Amino acid sequence: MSYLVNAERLKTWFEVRRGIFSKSYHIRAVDDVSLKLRKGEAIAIVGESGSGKTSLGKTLVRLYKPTGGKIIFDGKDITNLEGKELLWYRRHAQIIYQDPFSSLPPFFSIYRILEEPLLIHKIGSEKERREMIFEALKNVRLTPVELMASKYPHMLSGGQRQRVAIARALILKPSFIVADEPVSMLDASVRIEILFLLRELQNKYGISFIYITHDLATTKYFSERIAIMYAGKIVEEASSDEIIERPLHPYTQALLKAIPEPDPENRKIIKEVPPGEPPDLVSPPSGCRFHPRCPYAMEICRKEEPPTREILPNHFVACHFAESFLKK
Amino acid sequence: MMQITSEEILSGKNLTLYYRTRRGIVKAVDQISFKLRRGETLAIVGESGSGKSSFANAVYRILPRNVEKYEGEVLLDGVDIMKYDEEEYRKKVRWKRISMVFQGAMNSLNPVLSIGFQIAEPLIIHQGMQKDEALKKAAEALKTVGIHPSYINRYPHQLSGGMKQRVVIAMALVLSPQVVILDEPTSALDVITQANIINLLKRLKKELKLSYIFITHDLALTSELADTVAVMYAGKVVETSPSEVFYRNPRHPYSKGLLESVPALKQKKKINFIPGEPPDLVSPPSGCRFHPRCPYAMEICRKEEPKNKEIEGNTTISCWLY
Amino acid sequence: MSSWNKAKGIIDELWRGKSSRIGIILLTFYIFLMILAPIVYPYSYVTKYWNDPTHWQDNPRLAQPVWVNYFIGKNLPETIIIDSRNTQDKRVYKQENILGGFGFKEINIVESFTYGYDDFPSEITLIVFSNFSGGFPFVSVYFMRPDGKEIQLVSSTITSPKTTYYISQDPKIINAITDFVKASTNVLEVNYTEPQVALFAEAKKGMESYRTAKVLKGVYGLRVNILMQDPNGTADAKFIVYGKVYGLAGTDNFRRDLMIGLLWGDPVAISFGLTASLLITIIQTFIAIAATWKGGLTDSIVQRIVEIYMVVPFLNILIIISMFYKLSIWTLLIAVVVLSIFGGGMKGTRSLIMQVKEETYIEAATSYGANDLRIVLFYLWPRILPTIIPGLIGAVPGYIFLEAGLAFLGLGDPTLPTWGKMLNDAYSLGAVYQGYWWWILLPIALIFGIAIAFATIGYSLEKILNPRLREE
Repeated sequence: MSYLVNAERLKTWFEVRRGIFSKSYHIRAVDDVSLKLRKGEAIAIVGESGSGKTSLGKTLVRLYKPTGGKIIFDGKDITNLEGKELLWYRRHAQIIYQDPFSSLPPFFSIYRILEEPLLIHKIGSEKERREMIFEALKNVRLTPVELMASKYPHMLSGGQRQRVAIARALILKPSFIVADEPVSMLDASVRIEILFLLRELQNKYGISFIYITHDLATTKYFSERIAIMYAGKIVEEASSDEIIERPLHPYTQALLKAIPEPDPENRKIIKEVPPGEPPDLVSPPSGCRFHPRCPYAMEICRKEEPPTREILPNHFVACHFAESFLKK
Repeated sequence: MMQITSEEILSGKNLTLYYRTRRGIVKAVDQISFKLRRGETLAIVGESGSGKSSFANAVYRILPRNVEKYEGEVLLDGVDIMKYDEEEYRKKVRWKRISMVFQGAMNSLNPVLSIGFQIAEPLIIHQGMQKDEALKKAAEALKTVGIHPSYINRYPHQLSGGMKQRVVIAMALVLSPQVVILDEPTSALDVITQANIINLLKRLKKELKLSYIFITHDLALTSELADTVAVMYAGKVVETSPSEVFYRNPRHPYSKGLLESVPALKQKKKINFIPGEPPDLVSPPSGCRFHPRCPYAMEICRKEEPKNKEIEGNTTISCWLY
Repeated sequence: MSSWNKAKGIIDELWRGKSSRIGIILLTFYIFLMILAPIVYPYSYVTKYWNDPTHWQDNPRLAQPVWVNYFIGKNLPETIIIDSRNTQDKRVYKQENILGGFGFKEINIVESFTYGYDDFPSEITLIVFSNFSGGFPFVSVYFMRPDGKEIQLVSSTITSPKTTYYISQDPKIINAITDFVKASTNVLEVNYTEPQVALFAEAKKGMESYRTAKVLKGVYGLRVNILMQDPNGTADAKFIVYGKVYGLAGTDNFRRDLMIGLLWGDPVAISFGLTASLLITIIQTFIAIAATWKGGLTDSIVQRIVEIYMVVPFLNILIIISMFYKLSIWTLLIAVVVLSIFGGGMKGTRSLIMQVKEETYIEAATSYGANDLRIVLFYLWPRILPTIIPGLIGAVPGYIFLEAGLAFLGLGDPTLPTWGKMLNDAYSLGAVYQGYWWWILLPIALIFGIAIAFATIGYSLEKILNPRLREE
């Protein structure tokens, strides 16, 4: 299969222990998630805070070790890699963080920040590294490159810093990048620019992306497929158009309804949205995790966890009543 | 010349707030004028660095130590409250007639006091109410914002984000003010909770006959509440117009660019971004502050600051194109 | 931004602050002293002679510093040394005769000097050097006063090449002087004669006692007459009238110039304090960073060790050790470092690292492959460096006090003239009760000063390097 990343029944549970003698409990951040990512494809993971999307992203780049399940990367099982082999994986999978203000070490120059990954993986001579660094800066349009390279993070704006973070992710020429809410902390006018940049890099270098976001609207500009995440599980996965035109999970539908659109008529309407908040990941609701808030919840939703089914070609939904939304 | 009509509950003229910092004087709010009509929502829209939070501070007189300049006129029901001294302002205006929901307030709730007590506090302090009566009123306030009254004894850490924000709103309403300033009231909340809070705000506005000043960077969210939109850039208001007019036809190049950069899921619209970054408020660009990023910039834009002008569609704009 | 520019910027800021400006001035002064010490008194000189009493014979005992004269308005005497071996000295008149007949040699040495001070000498000594073969020479010493009176002090044979007459202490000489006093003042009984007073006092009643005598100023002379059998023999006389003031720092009980102690105490104090502080801070910080970063069992073990260290009384152990082993100053340094490495300061560093290790850029480093060692060295260490530097500087006075304190208790290096050692000597000789103030106050002032220097700089550095403490 031409899947670059294949995550099967992935689990990432965090153990929390209050003291030496008290019982520990688990935060089930990623709870039985399966996801397939093709070469050069961008999938958006959309969820609210506490949905586990960031944990999923970090698990995929092995910042967390999965508690269960497995990840196959380019045919190789990377689930339990350590040492040198893990280092090999780190060269091919990178992450871009949400916060441009804390993801760059404040005491390194931009040049040094970009040089670090090359030094760690012992790539190139000093001259070759220099060229690679300048090329990376050019790719993210931080010019003039020599001036920018000599600056320090605190001298740059949020947007510029995020470009540096992108350049850093690119410098090892990875085939897989997880972008964790890369534009959430940037100004509105800068967001689109950065998303366009990511799309350009995706097309130019054929990099596969996982784009994590809470803002469904931005996926229109970057991502071919969308996976909706709720309480540690993926409840729906399909192409972007399908999700937006034909959402088959009540949560997806609620999300779409709740998203504000710039239309002055909105102020005259009270939107119908489910009450309550996302559950905590320590003891999520039984059965379908969305059932306490779902306007269509039935008895079975409380008892049984809905399996993920392919309702339409390449459109996967985890809901007992997914079909009933097809008519809409 | 500003017309004061009985329709306006709050208005400001040439409001100015400068801060003194190590790097120089930050001109956060530079001669801003605005009008808030009774029962309506005025939205102040701007990016970070536009001065919109400083605008809230200027209207509500929340001043830090390093104020360089603070002047202008603020009329509340026809009375210039800028002339009040600190004591008068505290007694007559603050929390009683104008109250505020601060940015990130839900994270600033006192962790060691019950939420009932925190809501009751202004009643005890400002109105000298007895504790029991105040707590009763607090329970009522919780009901108004959609939280069960039994929650008055709970502590902030026991509440979810959305509930905390409701508590903050209850606190802002407890003395029955006429005007509420909301500074990014939903920024840390997820989309569905945000929608719920907005619904709450809509309902409260109608039931309690409130007027809102709604400060945000999110243009899509603005349309959920705003009757009038005022766009702020680098300490100045560049365009003020009614929502219907604004969303259909923004005139100022910055407003246009801002609206174009908002991704819209369901509508098919042109998407674009504004190149460059918002300017430094210590040394803003000469002339029109937006000129370095403006696609229509002319020679005069660089030299002189444009004046406020009334144009068609009930709009006030500050741009040399008009 | 180059580190040189940054350093310059920091020094500028330090200069601007009121207290830190004092600190910088003081520190410059101490650095200047530190450079001066080995130039004026080379290390080899100090180690050879500091503990050698014979070297200091020409200095007065327990003399105050010279500048005391400005404060008390009196002109206290400085030491007068006339040595006939010094052929350039014009105050010496030497004459040699061969007496006809027996072939005896007579040597006459007259040493004259003006005594214009307002106070009496502290001691008087005469050393006669003679080189002869055959029979022992005979010497007579006469003391001539400006008022014309003359006293014969000595009349005896010399038996060795170097004969010292302790004029202020020798009972026979004192008797001679007492007789002189009785004769001069027409008094039958004299209680107690202070020879160095009586010789220089006006011939009046009470001239034998310091309390009642008045200085007789004028030209004095000492005549030494030596008769020897050897016509080829030689003789010389060295007359020392010990003063009451000496040098810029006075002298101690062993007649040592205290300036040496004051000067040399500086480099010892600074190097000890700085080295101890540097070593301890660096090692401690490194362990703290590594343990905190590693977390888990390593972290727990290190924390328990730290807690044990915090409970153990470190100074007491140090005292016990130095009771059994005489510690040189370098051994002391190592002992202090070992006993402080796991000190309580590590807890503070740990809490800072706990915060820093959660920072996103640290996790990001892991994501592109940085291993533990790299993160500790290149990410955590530079992040924490500005925070520990002020502490490092501020801790220096503590270690200086420690060394001085141990030396004061007699537990330090016995051979080096450090400030603490000076205080130890002063204390054991009862300097406080005897009023030898310069022996105590000068070293204390210097210890105090250096503590102020480092403390003010450390305090201001913390304000500068920690931007959160800055005031707008």
